[in-house]
Amino acid sequence: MTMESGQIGTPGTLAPDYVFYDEDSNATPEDNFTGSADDEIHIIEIDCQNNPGEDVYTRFYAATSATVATDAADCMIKGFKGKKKTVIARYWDDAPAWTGIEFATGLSMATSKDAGAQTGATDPTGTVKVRLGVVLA
Amino acid sequence: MVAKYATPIAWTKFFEYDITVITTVDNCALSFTAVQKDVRSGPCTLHAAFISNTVASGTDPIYFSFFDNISSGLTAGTTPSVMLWPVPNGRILLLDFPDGFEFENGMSLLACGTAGDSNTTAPAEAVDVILHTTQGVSR
Repeated sequence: MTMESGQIGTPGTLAPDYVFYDEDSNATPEDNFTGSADDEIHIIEIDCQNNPGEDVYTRFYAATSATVATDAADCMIKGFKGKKKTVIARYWDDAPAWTGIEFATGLSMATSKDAGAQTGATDPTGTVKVRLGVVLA
Repeated sequence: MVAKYATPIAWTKFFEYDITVITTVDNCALSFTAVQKDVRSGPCTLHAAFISNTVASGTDPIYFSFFDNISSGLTAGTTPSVMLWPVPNGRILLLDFPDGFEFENGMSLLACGTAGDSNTTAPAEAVDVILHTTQGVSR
């Protein structure tokens, strides 16, 4: 399913300004879904409430396109079967400044029920929803 | 009255969460060391993590992996991780899990120089880690 997005506020130091959401995330990659480079993910929500049968693995690629099961993901997090989980992720540097997880060359995403950050491209059995809080560059 | 304790003490035992401080998680080419494997040797829930890669030069970024495995079921470069995060030079990665992140078997850690799960390239620098965990899982 195509990624959709909505603006949620003015860009800030601590808060994402856009939400991107995929209501049926699977092993077909959502290539370059932000359409720009140097974007940052601040919040990841993986909703497996309609996928009770197996854990899934949502992979993020710092690239404008991804070949799932071949390309090594730059960031990956497990989604728990039957549950909705959220992680808030930020970098702190000595600027000092906060940023999200940075994807300098583009941002692509896929979700597979195959474990890990690289191997396998099997679609989840049920429906997996992925929502992302993003700061666009 | 506010009690005052001199250090060093077992300060990590004073809080609701178990606090684990690891000062060097590095060098997957040397295979895992005891400090990397079995950070929690049984079921646990991760609530927050602080991963520091504050050196100005070296491997950029390092890739930090969490495994739901204890030492007997873990092989660097082969075992799939349950989380992988890039941490650039000069940065500290802060992870907050408001719902908790469960490890059914135990928790082991790895810092490497390349993305994905098949890497065996050691980063040039060590990484410091602080974890907030509780024993057990909710499912």
